[in-house]
Amino acid sequence: MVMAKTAGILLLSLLLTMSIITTVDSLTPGPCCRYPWFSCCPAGVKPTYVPLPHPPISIAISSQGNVLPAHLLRYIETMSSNPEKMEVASWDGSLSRTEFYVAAGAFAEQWNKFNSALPQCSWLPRSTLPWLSATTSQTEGYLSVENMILPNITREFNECNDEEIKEDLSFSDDDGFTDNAMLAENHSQESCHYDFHIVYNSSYRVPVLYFRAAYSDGQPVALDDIEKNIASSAKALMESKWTFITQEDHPYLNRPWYTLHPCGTREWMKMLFMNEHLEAQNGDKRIAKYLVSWFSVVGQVFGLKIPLQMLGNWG
Amino acid sequence: MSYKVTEAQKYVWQGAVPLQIHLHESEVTTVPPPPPALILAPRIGYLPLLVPQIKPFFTSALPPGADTVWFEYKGLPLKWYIPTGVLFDLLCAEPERPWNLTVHFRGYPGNVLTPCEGEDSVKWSFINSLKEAAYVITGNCKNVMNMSQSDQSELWRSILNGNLEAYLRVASKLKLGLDGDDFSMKLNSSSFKSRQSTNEGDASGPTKPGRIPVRMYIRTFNEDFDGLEDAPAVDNWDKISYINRPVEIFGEGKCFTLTDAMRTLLPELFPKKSLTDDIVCVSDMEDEQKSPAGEAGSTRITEETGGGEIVRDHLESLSMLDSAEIKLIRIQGIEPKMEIPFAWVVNNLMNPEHFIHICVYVKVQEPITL
Repeated sequence: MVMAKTAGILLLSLLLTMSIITTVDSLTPGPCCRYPWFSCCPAGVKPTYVPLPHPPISIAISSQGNVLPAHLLRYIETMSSNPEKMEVASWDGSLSRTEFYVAAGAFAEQWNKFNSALPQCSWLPRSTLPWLSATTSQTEGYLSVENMILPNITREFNECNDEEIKEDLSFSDDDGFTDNAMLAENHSQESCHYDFHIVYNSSYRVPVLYFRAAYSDGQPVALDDIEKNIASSAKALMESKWTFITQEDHPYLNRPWYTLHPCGTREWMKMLFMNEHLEAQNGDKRIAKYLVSWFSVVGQVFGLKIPLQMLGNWG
Repeated sequence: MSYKVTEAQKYVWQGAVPLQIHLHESEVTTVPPPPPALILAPRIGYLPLLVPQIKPFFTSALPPGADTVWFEYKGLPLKWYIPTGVLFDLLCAEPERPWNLTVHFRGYPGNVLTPCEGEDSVKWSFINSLKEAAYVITGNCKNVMNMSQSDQSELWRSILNGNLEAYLRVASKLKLGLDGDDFSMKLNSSSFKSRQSTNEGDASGPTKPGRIPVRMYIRTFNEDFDGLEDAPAVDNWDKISYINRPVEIFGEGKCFTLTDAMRTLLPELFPKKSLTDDIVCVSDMEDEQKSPAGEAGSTRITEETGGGEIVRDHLESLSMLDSAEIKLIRIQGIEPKMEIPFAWVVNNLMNPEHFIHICVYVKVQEPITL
């Protein structure tokens, strides 16, 4: 435990350092929230703004007893000994849409093989454009893991909620779109059902995580409560600022989902792969392990541990 | 340094949609109900930015409570981060003037719309889009991130006030390759190469984009209709497909037309024809930029410059799949000819966040079932 914690902090500081010394300026998307005006958070999400002096990107790994993936540990070792490796790689950390499709296949296979107790991961083709050829609608899809049950979000009912209820009741019929009825049940300690979608973003050429959460009675979990849960499992990650959760329209479903902003992803994926042997850096292997590596970082936001076999298999 | 403003850009920036805004009946607490508000909404603007102007019309009629403003058209809650002109092009097949919208101050439909807290939310969304566009064009967001505070506020003020000159003054510093003729010439010249290519030529010039940020909204119809006025209304966002994908520009020595751009986005609907490869490139962008925008303008442009050599592959003559037919392609309220250079579209019809918004209406034949 102590080891993991130390390693987490070490990784954080290392990556902070790395991002300062890195010279790949043209690849640097820049700090998300360097200026309040330029934060990644759109749509009414006003983050508590903490000015970051320089690090373009900072990655932290949960220290809540999660075992750090072996390749991250290797990464730390490699980077400590010869940081100049930074310069050599030419791959920029991004994926093409076709590569994403291939990577998704590899991820789903690994996931379903090693997480048999969890909901299965499946690929959903794009179905809304009827003229698409079978091939196109297949490759245009996204990865989905639904109904993942994660423990321990406390849903508290305080005065604030009571007020909301009163207010809601007084205008209960003001429109046809929302159901304002709220059940004052106690959901403390209740588990939450998460849906995760991994969608390709053509602008940033990286995968993006979209998710939503609901209690078992179907009530959606408010962002505040999601953040509370995250705060306990990956506090450092959230403080690092690249993992802003915002609410945006799901690109396939046209409904608001939560998402982690992708503008830094390419950069830290590049860093994750930097230490790999050349053999792993070339095409196929890199694509095959891209999403597993990506999820080993992103999953930490939700306290999800990737089974070591999923990563270990890559040697 | 002076910034060349094209006629078309002026039209785009001055473009406005006359709105007639009604308060939703469930929120009317007075007799008689308040009359609708009439207002001109800038095409490049966003609906929440109108709230300070329209609220005085309705404030006395509202029930007590906190405001959570949202707009609706024929039962469809409107996504506030889509520019007003794009919503109009997309949802009003046959342009309705004034456009009758319903405003709600209560009961925000959070299951359909992302949260909006007025101007701040819109500004965040705009800058986020600008960042994304910068990333698409240059491969990073550096220029946007490094803007000075005063440039930032000037840029946003120029959007609020519809001040094109002020906008260009700031936007040109972003070096997104859209500040003048240089870009169009590069895009059309035979030496044009994509971003990944070597930096040949003048290093001082603006970045040469090989990727153009495009947001496309596709309405799919199953039933046939004669005129656009008969097109069924959209009552659900499920009926609209959103594709946010850059147009990748390949090839050299060949004029890249709107058809070519559409083909990269919707290859099934724009099958490659050998004929279109022979399109003669429009070389002189100067002439075009003197021409006004609008349907008449764009028609004249292609006729003037085509010299009879442009292959007239109009929408109708494109050999599409039998099952699907493009009814309409609309950008900034006009239906551009498909053979115009995509560079012209980019330079003249883009929104200030550097995205081209394209509305596409597609009719799909239901498969015949026995």
